Amino acid sequence: MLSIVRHSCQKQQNLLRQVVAVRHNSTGGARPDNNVQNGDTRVELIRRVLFESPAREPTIKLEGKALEEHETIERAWKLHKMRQREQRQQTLERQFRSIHLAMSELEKASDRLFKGAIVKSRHITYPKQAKIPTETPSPQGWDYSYKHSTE
Amino acid sequence: MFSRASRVVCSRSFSTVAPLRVPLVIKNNRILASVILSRAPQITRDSTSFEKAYFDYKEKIERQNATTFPTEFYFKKGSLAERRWKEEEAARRDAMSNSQTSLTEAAAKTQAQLEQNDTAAASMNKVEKASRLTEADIKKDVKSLDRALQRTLYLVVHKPEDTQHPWQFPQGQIDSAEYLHEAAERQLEDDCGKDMDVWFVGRQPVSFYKKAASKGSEEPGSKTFFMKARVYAGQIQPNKQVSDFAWVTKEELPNYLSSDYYNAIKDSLSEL
Repeated sequence: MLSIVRHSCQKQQNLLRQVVAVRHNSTGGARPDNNVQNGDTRVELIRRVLFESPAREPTIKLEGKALEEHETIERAWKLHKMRQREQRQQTLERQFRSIHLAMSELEKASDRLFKGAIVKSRHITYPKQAKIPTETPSPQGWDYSYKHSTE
Repeated sequence: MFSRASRVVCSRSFSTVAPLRVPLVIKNNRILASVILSRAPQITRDSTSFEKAYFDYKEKIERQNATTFPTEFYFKKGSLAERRWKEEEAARRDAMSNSQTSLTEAAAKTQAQLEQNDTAAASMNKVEKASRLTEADIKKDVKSLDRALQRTLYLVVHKPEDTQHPWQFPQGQIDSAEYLHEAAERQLEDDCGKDMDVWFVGRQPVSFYKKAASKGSEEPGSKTFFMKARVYAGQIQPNKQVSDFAWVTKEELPNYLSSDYYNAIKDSLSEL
């Protein structure tokens, strides 16, 4: 397995060397090459993709009604994103106010508990098991078989 | 200097005594610690129809402005992958003039058709993806943690002994020697068992609920402090006091919790 990988790596390296060499030797002098047919077409292809920019049509310039339509769509999208942002901000503010209220009540209720709550423990770390949401769920589903490890 | 006998007496007097569990009551209010245990969303939320339409619009504009794709660089001439690519491209070209279908839909449709016709091509590089709608969604199994994957699920337990709030978050009395987060962890273990991978978000409470002392002044009032926790694996093993439990979304919570209890905690919940 490793030998195949090394072999293909070698091939790619050879090809890349040829590409760069052809670029530098612009005179295109006599280069002794065993597989001129196959090597050249592949080299030409790579050279074309790497160094030549393909032909493209000039970017569309909208005018009049089409421009108005496009701008309306873009404004609607910006509005949508703004509303999302504001909603997220509102939720965060509500959550903060709730925490603030709880901590004020705790301070009023018990000094000992309050002091215990505001301690910033250096041993609390963020859990590695916290996954970000993906597009599709895990095929195994939720892990119901978790058992508490007794240390 | 000390004789052996006195040393023995000294060591015996330091024998361990079980700590007395005295429930904490301050100014005729019992202090309770509760846990809002939540399972985070497992999948991204569905796009709204406007979002979907906008993404399709942008896709088509990008295709119009894009450069030509060097197929001969990416695909070997005459290979199966090249054939599949050409069919996808033909579908995309047709979809450009058709305002009803998007480019991704057209490409997906051709792939599905190809798989129906040619099973050999289908097995090549096929990625098995699980469905976003699970069995638990269809069966509406509220005890399952695979339900409502786009939303946050909160744990509520049913304790018939508490007549005012039969459905509640796992809560219990704090002892006078404990801190808030310690009491909350202990209470969660007692009510729901240890077979869950739980992480408490810091030591601060996120919500507060006060129940006034009854008029007859026999029953003390209570002050409940709610701690936030996340669950990453496992399922609850309810103890004898807990007769029932459910994992519910924010919208379903008012169906279980009493209104003043829900109003006290609703600000600390997240939107999704």
